Parts: sequence; structure tokens; C-alpha cells
Amino acid sequence: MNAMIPRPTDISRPFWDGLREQRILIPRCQRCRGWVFYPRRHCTHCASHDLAWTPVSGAATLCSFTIARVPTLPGFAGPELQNLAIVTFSEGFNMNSALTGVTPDDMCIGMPLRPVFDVMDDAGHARLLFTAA
Amino acid sequence: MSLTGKAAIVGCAQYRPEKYTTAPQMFHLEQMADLARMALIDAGLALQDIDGLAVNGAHFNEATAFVPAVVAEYLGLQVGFAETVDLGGTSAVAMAWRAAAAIQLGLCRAVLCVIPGRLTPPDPDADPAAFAAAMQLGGHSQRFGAPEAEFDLPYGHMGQNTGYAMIAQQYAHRYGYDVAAMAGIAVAQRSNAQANPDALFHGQPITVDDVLNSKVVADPLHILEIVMPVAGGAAFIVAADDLARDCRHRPVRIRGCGEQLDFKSPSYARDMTVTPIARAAQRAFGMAGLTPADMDMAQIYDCYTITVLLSLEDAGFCTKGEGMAFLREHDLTWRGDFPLNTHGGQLSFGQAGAAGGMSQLIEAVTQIRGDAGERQLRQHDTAFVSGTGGVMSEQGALILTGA
Repeated sequence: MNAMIPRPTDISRPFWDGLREQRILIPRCQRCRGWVFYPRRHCTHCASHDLAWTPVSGAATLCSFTIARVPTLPGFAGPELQNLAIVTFSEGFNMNSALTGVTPDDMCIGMPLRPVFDVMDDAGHARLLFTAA
Repeated sequence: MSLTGKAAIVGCAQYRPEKYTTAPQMFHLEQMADLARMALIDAGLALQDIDGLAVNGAHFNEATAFVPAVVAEYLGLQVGFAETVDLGGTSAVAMAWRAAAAIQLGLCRAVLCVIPGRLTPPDPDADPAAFAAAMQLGGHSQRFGAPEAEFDLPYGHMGQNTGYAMIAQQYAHRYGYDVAAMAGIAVAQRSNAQANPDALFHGQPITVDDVLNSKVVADPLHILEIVMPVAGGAAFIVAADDLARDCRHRPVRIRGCGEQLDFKSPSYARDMTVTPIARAAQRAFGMAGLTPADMDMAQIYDCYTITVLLSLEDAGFCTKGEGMAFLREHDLTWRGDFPLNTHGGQLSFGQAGAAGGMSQLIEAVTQIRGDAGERQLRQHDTAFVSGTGGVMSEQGALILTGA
């Protein structure tokens, strides 16, 4: 597995830094209380710029998934079948991710999930995967 | 909001779909000149009659900016309406209504809409490895700051197959999924391609078992449910009614249109089983004062079988969640009670990049004119045409009627 390392921007950096510390920080609008993911300059519900990084537990359910029988990128070619997942956080927003520690036969839409902090390289870059809760 | 039917499609041209390995390589400007000439001949118009231009905005080879000016200059046109459209597979549908609207506003009288789809000659000084890497990422941006580069690629979310597959999985979870009925879409369209000598898969019929035994690319989608990219390219001309009357063929009026963009990745859809075509089609039918039941044919964008299913439901040809029963109850071939993608669809005709969506529009025009040969429908006055870009990201609908 040799996935692309995310390149944080000034806006998104707290999210990726949080993952290194095993924390999930998500922008939340201080005006309308809406959650914003992926991180942006503004609230997508009310356009306010008053967003605050807010910790969440990462409790989620599986919104949808597929098994890529043809790897989507060379870095995902390997002995294990590649899966892709869309997860819905208990706060209501969605994130693109993938499942780990779950066989394709055990994957089902609606299953409860918990986060897995996946360290991608020696520099400590991390991404957020999910597994069965 | 209305189009009063004062504009009609009067000319069409299309390269026969070919495998990339055998098709000629030509610069995009050369392809446009070719396609424009063929469309003008088909219409019976002269180059000087064209005073509007709509071209594809993305992946244009010979210009990165000022694309319409570069194209107009090359073709020898002076235009009062110039548009680049960057809506992927719904670009053709989008060009048609933009052209009709511009004509209705009096900005121009004849608009050339053109999308090249053959490969261009390789730059002798370019690094082939960089080209290969760029091809692999398709329409996915890798640039610093691109949300998809940052939040999709690290997880392998890339390309169209897996996005459509996840929509299909969600649909299956909600409403159930009949794999044989879904395969039947590909089979019916392949059957239509047997009556279209220009189709890539002419002479190669398939069965439901062939589809179900073909390789699964991303569950639940088999490779025979996924469109094959080919070299091609297409053009059409939209003209004002007074010009259209003097053209060579029955004018095909643009009576209704709609367009809807809701997201780039369906992961961020409020409900990924309700697609943007719902609102696009509702507007188009409303504008035309017609209903799905009034359509003699449906030429529905078919990058995947799931695209067709969701479009049938969301455009109102059947009730939401009852698409599987609809598929089982209807014959979708040109001989059948619900003629769908009578040219074979892109699944069997081939998908020439963003020009692929033009094949649906051109088939509607061909049928309405009565020029479809062996696959000609007996009733051919009204057509629903749809386009889809991205992963159900952007969709458009047209209602076309014969004059």
C-alpha cells in the first residue's frame, strides 16, 4: 500500500495535525452550529466564516461501499482487495474513507463503525480509516 | 422561463467510434474543422452562416485559455455568441439549450456545437511518463489545494467506477437490486447496436449471462455494464427557425431544457439515490408542456447501467424505487414498447469522451428525421435526451420534437 500523502493547506492543517495526535477535529459553524466537512473557508449552511475546530468521537455508520476489483490507483494494488467507503458521522456529515479489518463479506450498509488512525509514513502523516464498532 | 421552439437542430456529424489504437491522431482544431464541415453539409448551410460557437472547455489540446477565440479564428468564423462548456457528459445537452437561448435572444442565428474526441498527435518534446500519469488520474485534480486531491486520493477514491458502484450499492440497500434486470439494460442496448453499423459493438450481440459472467470491476458493476472509452468526436448545428426551414432535413426543435448540479462527489449528496436529473427533467418537461408519457423515445446518458436506472426513475418514466420492475416489464430495444438508446447507447456505440453524450442527441435527431435505417422507430416525433457528467454530479435534459 502506497497511498498519496495528503498535502494540508492553511485551512485544513488542524484536521491532519489532529489525526497525528489521534484526535478528530472538524470545523463547526459558531453561528448556525452546522458541521462542515471537508474543511473550508466558510460554513456551507450559512456562509459564515466563524468556524471552530471541534472534537468528535468518530462514531459513524457505513453509508455505502464497494470493492474495487480493479485497483483505482497503483498504490492500492496488493494481495488485499481494495475497498472504498463513504461513512456518515453521528454528527450527520459524510467522509470518503476506506475500511480496515473487515472482510468484504462482513461489510454491510448501515453497520456501526469506529475510527482507526492510520499512520502512513515515518514522518507520521496519518489518515482516518474505519472498522466495525 | 421558456424556449419557444424558435431554434432547431439542423445538422449533425459524428466520427464513427474507433479504438484509440487504430483511430487517426489529429489536433483538436483539425477535428473541429472536419466535424464542422460535415455538419454544415448535413444541414445545407455555408460556413458564413455560422455566427455562434459552443466548444468543450476542459482538456482542449491547443489552448488552455481563450478557447472559443482560438477555435473561431482557426475555423474562419466571426461569432456573436461564444461559449465553453465544461459539464463532462452533459456538455452536448448543455450546448444545445445555450445555443437555443442565444438564438432566442437574437444574439445569433446559427450555432456550431462541437466536441473533438480523438487523441492528438504526441508532443515530440513531452515526457510520455507524465502523459501516462495524467491519463491515469483522468478528471481528478492532483493540484495543491484541490479538495479531491486532499480528501479523496489518500483513500483511493478516484475515477468514476467506484463512485457509481457506491451509488448502486446504496440503491440496492434501499430498494433492492435485480442483477439480471440491470444486465438487461446492457443487453437491450447491445441488441440496438446490431441495427447500427456505426456502433463499436456492431456484430457482437451479448446475453444476460455474458454480462453476469463478465469481470466485476467494482461491486456490483460488471465490465459489460461500464462504457468503453473510444476515439470519436461529434458536432451539431442549432439554427433559428427561418434558417432551419431552408435546411436539408426535418428541423428538430428544442422545446424544453433543464440542468442541475448538486455536487462533484456523490459522497456529499444529501441522498445519492436521488440524482440531479430529477429537477433537470422536471424543468424540461414543464417548459415543453409535455410529459414522459408523450415521448416516443428516450436517449438516456448511459455511462453505466445504474445511470440509466436512476435516470428512468428520477426523470419520471417510472416511480422511484420501482425501476427494477420497470426494466422487467418493458422491452427497451428499438423494436420494443420503450425504445431506449436506439443507437446502442454509449455502452455499445462507444464513448468518445465528452463527445459521447452527443451521440444520444444525434440519435434523437436521426430518429426524429426518420433517417435511422434498420432501427428506425415507427413513431418518432418526440424525444427525451439526457446528459450526465462526473459521478451523477451534473445532469441535463432536453425535450426535442420534430417540426
